[in-house]
Amino acid sequence: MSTRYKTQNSILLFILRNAALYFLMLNAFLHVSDILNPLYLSVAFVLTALTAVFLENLKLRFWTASIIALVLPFFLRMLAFFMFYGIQALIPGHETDLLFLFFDKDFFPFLAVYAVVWLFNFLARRYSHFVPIEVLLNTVFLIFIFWNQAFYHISLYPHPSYFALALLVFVLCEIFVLLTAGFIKERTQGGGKKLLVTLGYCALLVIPLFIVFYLVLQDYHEQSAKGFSGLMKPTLFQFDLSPYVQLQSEIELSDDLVLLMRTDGSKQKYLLRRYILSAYDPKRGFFREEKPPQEEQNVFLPDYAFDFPDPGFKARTRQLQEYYLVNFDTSALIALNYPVTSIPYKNWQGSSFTRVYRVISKVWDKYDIPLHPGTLSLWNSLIRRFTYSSLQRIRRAEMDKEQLDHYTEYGQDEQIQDLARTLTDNTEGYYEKVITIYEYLKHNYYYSLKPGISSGENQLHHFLFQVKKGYCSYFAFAMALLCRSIDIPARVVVGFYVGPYSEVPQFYHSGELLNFYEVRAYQAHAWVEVYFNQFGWIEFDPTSTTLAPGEDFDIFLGRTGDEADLRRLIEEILKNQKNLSESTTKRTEDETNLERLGKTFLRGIKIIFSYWYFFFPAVYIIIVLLFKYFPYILFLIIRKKTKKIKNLYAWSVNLVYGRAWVRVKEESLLEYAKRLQKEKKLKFLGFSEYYLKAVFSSGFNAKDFSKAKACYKEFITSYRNHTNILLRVLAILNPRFLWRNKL
Amino acid sequence: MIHNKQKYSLIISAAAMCLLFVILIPVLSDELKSEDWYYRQTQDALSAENYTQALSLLEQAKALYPDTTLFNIMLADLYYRKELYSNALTEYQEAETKIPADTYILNQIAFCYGLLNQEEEALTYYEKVLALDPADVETIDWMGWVYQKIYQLKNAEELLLKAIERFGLQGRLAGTLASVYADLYEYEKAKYYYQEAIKLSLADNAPGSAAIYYYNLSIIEKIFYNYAAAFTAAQNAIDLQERASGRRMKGSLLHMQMDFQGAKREYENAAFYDDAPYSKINLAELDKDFGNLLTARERITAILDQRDLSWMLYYSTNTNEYYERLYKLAAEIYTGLAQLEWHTPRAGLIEEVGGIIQSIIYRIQAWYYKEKYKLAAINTGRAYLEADNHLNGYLELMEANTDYKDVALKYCLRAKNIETLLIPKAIPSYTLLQGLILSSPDLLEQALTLLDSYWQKDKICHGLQNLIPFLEQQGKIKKRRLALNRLYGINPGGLIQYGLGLPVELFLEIDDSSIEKQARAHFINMLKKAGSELAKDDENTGFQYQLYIKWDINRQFSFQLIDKATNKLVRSGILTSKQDSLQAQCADLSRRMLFEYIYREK
Repeated sequence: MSTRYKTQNSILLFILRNAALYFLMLNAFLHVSDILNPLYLSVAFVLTALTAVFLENLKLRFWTASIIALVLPFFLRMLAFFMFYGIQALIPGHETDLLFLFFDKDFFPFLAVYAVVWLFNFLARRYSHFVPIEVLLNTVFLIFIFWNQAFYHISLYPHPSYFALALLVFVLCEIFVLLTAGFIKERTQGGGKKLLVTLGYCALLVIPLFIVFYLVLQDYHEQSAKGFSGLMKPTLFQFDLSPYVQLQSEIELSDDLVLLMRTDGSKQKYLLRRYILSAYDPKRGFFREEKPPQEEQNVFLPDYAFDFPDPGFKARTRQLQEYYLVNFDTSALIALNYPVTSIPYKNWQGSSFTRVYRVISKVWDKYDIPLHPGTLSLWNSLIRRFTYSSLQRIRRAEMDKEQLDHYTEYGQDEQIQDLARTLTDNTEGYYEKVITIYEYLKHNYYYSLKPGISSGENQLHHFLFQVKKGYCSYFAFAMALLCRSIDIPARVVVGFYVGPYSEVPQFYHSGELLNFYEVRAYQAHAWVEVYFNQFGWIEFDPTSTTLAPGEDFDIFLGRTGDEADLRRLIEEILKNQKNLSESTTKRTEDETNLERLGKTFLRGIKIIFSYWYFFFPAVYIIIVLLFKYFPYILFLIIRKKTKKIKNLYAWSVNLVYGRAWVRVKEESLLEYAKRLQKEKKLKFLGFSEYYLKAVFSSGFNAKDFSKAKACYKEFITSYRNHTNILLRVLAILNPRFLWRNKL
Repeated sequence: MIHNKQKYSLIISAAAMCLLFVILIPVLSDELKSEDWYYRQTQDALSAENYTQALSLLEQAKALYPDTTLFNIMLADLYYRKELYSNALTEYQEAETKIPADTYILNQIAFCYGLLNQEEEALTYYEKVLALDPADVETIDWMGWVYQKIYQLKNAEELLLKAIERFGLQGRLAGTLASVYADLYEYEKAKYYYQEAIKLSLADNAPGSAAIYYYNLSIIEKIFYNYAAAFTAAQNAIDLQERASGRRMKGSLLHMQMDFQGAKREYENAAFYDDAPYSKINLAELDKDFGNLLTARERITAILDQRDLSWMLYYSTNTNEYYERLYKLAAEIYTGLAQLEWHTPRAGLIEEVGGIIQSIIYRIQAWYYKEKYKLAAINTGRAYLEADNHLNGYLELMEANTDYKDVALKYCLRAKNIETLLIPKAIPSYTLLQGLILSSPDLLEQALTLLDSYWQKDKICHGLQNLIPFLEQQGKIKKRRLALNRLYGINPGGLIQYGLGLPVELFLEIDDSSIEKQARAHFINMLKKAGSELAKDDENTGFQYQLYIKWDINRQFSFQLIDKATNKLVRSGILTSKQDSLQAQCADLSRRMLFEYIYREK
């Protein structure tokens, strides 16, 4: 290998290695960015790396160099302090007094980085075997630095996508370090082995990362279901509720802010619906049916103002709600039962919210179930009584058979059916039966985050018949199945519970903040909807409000959030609300799938043209690389020796043509090779001879193959010696003669 | 009977009237949506708490009637009432563009700036108000208050004295002027004006204001080392009106006496009323001083997470000073936790390594908060010096430079020269400070003899905590033991967080002979790890405390700590351990005995 090539390679390696180290250092210091000076650290980093190179070039022994390296920073500090004393004497004052402090503020924390950067640079230059070890150690540091970002609590970067991009750059950097190290070259003898070794060293980097991320993700998946009330679906960077619910033995609660809701009116309880889980299977529990027999709530927010089908249920009033999503799936539609119109808005610049939209719902009249004639006005009382008597007159659900079967499927659980029958034995009316079941669960069971593990396989039986304690999913499952077992259509719904305590209060004085409600992850909730003829699906929340003995958290979970952050978000909304405009991405209802596909395709094209400066070069590079490297890839994977040599030769010719050293008309390959040898000093003749032998001779054997490869090595060496790295890169990217038949 | 003709004419008339009405409705409806209509509709919406509707109406009205300020002010007032000061400010400023010379609008803008802790801008607007209405005493008072918050004390003094000269002495002017003099360390003037403010407030039947002035008076008494007078003033404040401030002051004086229960009671009472986080900070400081470090850490973490600072308008502090205090406390807590981890008895190598790693993590956290504290102290110091408040400026710079003895000592001496001239009683405190900066055991011992043994027990405690390591280095073992005994007597929780352990005569009785030798070795090692010096048979001078431990055949562990001097039982307990191995049991029992009983306030 020529000296120039080695030097270029080592400079490239030095830059790549230190780029990776610098990345790690910067990210470590992001944790303490409010007290450290990045310029100081960057300058110190560069000086440290250069010091390591300098000491290594002196060919000192490792321990001697280490001692010098150890003493050097303190010596520099001493010099700096002498200088500061001088400045103090010349310009006395408190600012000069502070020079020592400001120096040491960055000096001492940097010492740890100094040690690593110096050591790694020294060892990498001294021992080439250290490079893959360094890559492994860097991976360990990376995990250590980002450990507190687990469960996707990304705090070091403004957005998780920047974090992902940074990681990708780091990984690519390390892969290039391994490739550039020349370590792989020294270890291989043939093309296939080279590929295997290359893959091996990449695996050295990738596999531990993969294992760690897999374990983290695995843990994340398991913990996030438990950690977010047992109802949340693990997604990469945002929350969403799960379209299926399983009963867990223990759950935890998290107070991450999910969204802000605004709706007028006096404080009361709101149940924000996300998914309707109407399908039931004893093994799977309740889950969302993709195509239920009855129209259920849209789960995706349309991109334009949309009127949903209105079944026209009675005793409903229109209620307007606004949703400001902070940390929730932006395509999700959340609304009070049942939405009739959704109006998405275009978000303002620099918005703290990922999505803003309004929904108009027709809500069940604003009194709690069960109905009790309270202290309302005479008029309201009359309405109540009228509605109540209408409900009482219902004897059975009026639905078609398919729907009835779907909404009364209870898995043929006889124990549950017996319980339901026992409870409703003395009750005649449809509505009374529902209330009986509701009140039975509400007043005879306890709320608990730790219902425990069933000794059999049935968690619900464990809840209903043994421990009598659980969280919302248990209560919802139980009520839904009890109703279903006596032919009352019921379904489980998941979403968020918003109680009066969720209304954002003023901080300093008593009072609430303009009808804004905060919705946090711990408010994820499951409840039941029961079908009543003409009145539709009415909500029941059978979850007990009595804590299980021995448990001591506040299930009415008053507010735990930071008022300053909430106030800032609300101020932002109020400042921008007059600038909100409706999103008008329209499409007709008759649009076919093909048309939608076409529109999606056009949208994709639009995005590509918006970022043309990135996409066009990327596409060009990919195409050119594919064409040029294709023969080489074939050389690596094909087993037949003659074909291997043919492809290797084709690859070599690609390189040469990239330099615009093309074969003239009527020139034979050997003449061409001789001309190259004479004019460009390329040792191409030997390799060309073996190529021709491989093509035309039937006696091309293993020995010829080895010699051909040796000739190829000679050629490549001569090519590299006469072509600097920049020209080699340009040659690869040169599109001239790409499609010419060169052989 | 009506003839057909009449019937028809009646019908036609009715129809004409209906038609007329229908034509008039569009005209009338425009009339209906007048300013007054919007005003009334908005008020109705606000009464019904339909805020979305109210806001929408106000925005519409603003657009329809751009020349009037009515709707800007209604919207601004709504935001102001709801503590959305940034939004309120925008609306008030929009109103100002329409009517630049409205004192209400200008005053509200000033208040908003003040609540957003933008004091300079607030002052600009107060000046505008006074330019329009020089007789607005309330504005003068607020302006003086804001001057004080940004250390422009001379400006505040001048403004308030002129106002008093012009309008006569009024309660609030006297109170604010007294606070200014307090910051200027002019004790007599401050005391005089506080007393006047109290008299005037009581005469005006405003006990709440009088309570505030009593509290402020107690602060200056405390600054001037008149602790008994401070205590009396604090109690007077509480007697007049139950407020957080009086309770906090009383608590802090009991804290100085190292009366844990008394101080805790007062701070908890204060927390009940407190809109600001000061009571929680006091409780965190109390827990830290008395060794309840994990509780202290939880408290300080919760306080640091609270980022709303609008309460600060009503307190003579600013964000820099506030966070400086928090960071200092956090640094001390984490330093204490690091020591605690280091000295915790453990079983096995894995636990030891885990403890070391945890200790290192705590040290890193302590370093982080210490750096933040130093930066905050520098900023505060600079601000004080710019405002010519040299005493406080020097003290802040001294605090920032504690790692650089020469620099710290220079500022300490400068501050001492100023303060001891004003307050001779401050000399012992400065002796202590010098001793700490110079790491001088002689100065520390001198300070301990000078400090008030009743009111300044906290400083004595702090002095002992720093003196004891020096005594060990100097080989003054007996003196060291006496100092430790004294420290334990004042504050049992103040030892381990400084890496100190109580010297004891150990009497260990283990009934199970099969484990006796091993268990004895484990207990002794663990007590030594926790910093305790154990008396030898031939040498027990200075060992005031005897520790009797009995571990019976049923593995019931009982202990008694007895004070030989008074022959009184200091601590006792009965414990059992469910750990598997002998070493783990010994570690568990030692840990619990030390950290739950011996090194805890009763």
